[in-house]
Amino acid sequence: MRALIATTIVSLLVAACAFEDTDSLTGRRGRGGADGDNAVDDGTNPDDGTTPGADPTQPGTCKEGIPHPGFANVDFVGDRKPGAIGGDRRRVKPYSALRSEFQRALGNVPAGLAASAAAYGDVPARWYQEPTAGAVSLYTTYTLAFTACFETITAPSFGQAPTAESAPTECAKLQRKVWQRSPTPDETKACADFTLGLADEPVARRRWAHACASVMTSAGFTTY
Amino acid sequence: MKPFSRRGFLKAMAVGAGAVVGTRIPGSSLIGVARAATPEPTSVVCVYLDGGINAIFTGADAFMNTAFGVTANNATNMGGVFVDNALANAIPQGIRNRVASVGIRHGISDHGNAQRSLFMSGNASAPLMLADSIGGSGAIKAAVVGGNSLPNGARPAPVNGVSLQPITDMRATIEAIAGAQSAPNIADRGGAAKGVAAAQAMSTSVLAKHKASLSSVDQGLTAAVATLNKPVQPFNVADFNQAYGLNGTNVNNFAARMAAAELMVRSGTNFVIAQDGGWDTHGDTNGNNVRNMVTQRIAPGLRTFLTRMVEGAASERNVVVAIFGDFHRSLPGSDHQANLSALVIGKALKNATSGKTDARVGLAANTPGIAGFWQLLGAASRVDQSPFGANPHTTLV
Repeated sequence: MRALIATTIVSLLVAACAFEDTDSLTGRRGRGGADGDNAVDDGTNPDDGTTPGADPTQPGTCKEGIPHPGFANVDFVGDRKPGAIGGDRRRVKPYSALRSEFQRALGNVPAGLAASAAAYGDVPARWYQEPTAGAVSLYTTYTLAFTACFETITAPSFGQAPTAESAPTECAKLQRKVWQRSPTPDETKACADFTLGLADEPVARRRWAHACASVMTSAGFTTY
Repeated sequence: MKPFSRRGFLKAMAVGAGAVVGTRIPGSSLIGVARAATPEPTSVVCVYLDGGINAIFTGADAFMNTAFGVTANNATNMGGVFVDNALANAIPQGIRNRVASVGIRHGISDHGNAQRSLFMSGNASAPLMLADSIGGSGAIKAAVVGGNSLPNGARPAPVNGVSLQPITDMRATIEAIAGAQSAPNIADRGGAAKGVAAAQAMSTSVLAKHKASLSSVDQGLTAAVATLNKPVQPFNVADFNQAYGLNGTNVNNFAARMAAAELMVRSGTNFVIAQDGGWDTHGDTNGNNVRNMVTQRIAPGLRTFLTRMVEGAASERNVVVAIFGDFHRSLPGSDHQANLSALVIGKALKNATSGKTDARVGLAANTPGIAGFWQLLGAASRVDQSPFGANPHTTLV
């Protein structure tokens, strides 16, 4: 008898869970029709809250949650500003992170970095301020990076002036290493064009150092 | 060839007039064209006392022998503007006839709201609007010295490409303006200018996706490229250190902020703000706390700056200094009064006051508000087209 009661209770719970609209909890788009991996979203379902053909990362293209009314029926999340998925998440790297970041990216730390805390607006110990960039701190990054890059690029290949073949190849390699992601073709082209355009710089190694410093000054390195 | 017509003639005239007017339109420092919206190099320097400013520094006569410890012996009459001696001693004799006090009846008595509102004009940043309207050839047109934001942590959106740039180190700033020494392993200025521009090009997609959180990077890269493309200006850290009594290059005290302000003014910056904290002086009923802070922290650097940049450079540039805070301190407890007067010093100013406080730290009912303050600064800057409108404080300029 006891076993029968237990079995009945478990069966009822299983049945209740089966009727739960799981998509309302997970936000999965394949609501109704097929289940799980077989779900198909043809963009025609009027209830899925999406806008067919729109960029799904942009605000307004999917359901953004339900109101949370509190006292006086005021929605306490009503003043939240909609933003794109993944947008405005990167932040400026603090000065305290640059030493290890230079070491990671280039294998050495520029000698001038230790004396450059003030240029980055480094804050006193036990005090916090969101790091920001400025003209002076970014120029400082460029000059420090140039020195570190110049000391690093000692391979014989960097004794040769960049060419239409070598510039994109080396730029892409450098960007991948410094940014820890694959660069887009446009990003590599910007680096290569700059490197090839420094024709008035007679020392090949300095041309490559400029290319390296430029990559190190871009948002791919100075932010995270 | 089209036949000559009256309409065509008028169109051609309009285009020609537009081209002429275009060279006088302020803003857009990115195209590298020096634009003279003022008759001479012009800068407005704000000294902001974070927390409030006691009215003994803008109209001490209101409290003579009655409040805040004011007596005939500790205030100086500058043509009707009575300034407590702690601050008066920082104003060189030669420019004491160029001191005015301007009333700001803003009706705000909480710090956050006052600090936000004092630097806004509509939905835009008033300092950046002013910096933009002054024009000139400086690469960095607006700067905050010794910090990275306006009061209350505000980081304003650029106005016509003019952004607020943080200046936190004299040496690094001078290197950016003047260029570093030449050496095989040091970046040359021409290459760096192109390199930073390339860095900006490489950052396009990242900055587009993180517009708000990385706005300082975007604005900083733009200002860096503009700075590196300007002719080199020679400056020497040692000169500033000697003049302002400094030991290092970190802009981390008020004297260093005034030194950095001078550097930026000399390099062509139109708007500079130097802030000092600790001015929420509740309970300072005899005014001694604020007197001591002015004497010890503010006066030394301010005196040097006024001597060198307002008095000493009057023949070559127009530098306007405005000293103010969130609001005046009220009576009897030196709390929050919902108004203030600012002390404004510069060669365009006259000895006069539109902010004469009464014995209860009140201002006349018809005293203009925050907009009037920026209208006055526009007039004192002598911009040909003030973005703030006509100056209501006509007796001061």
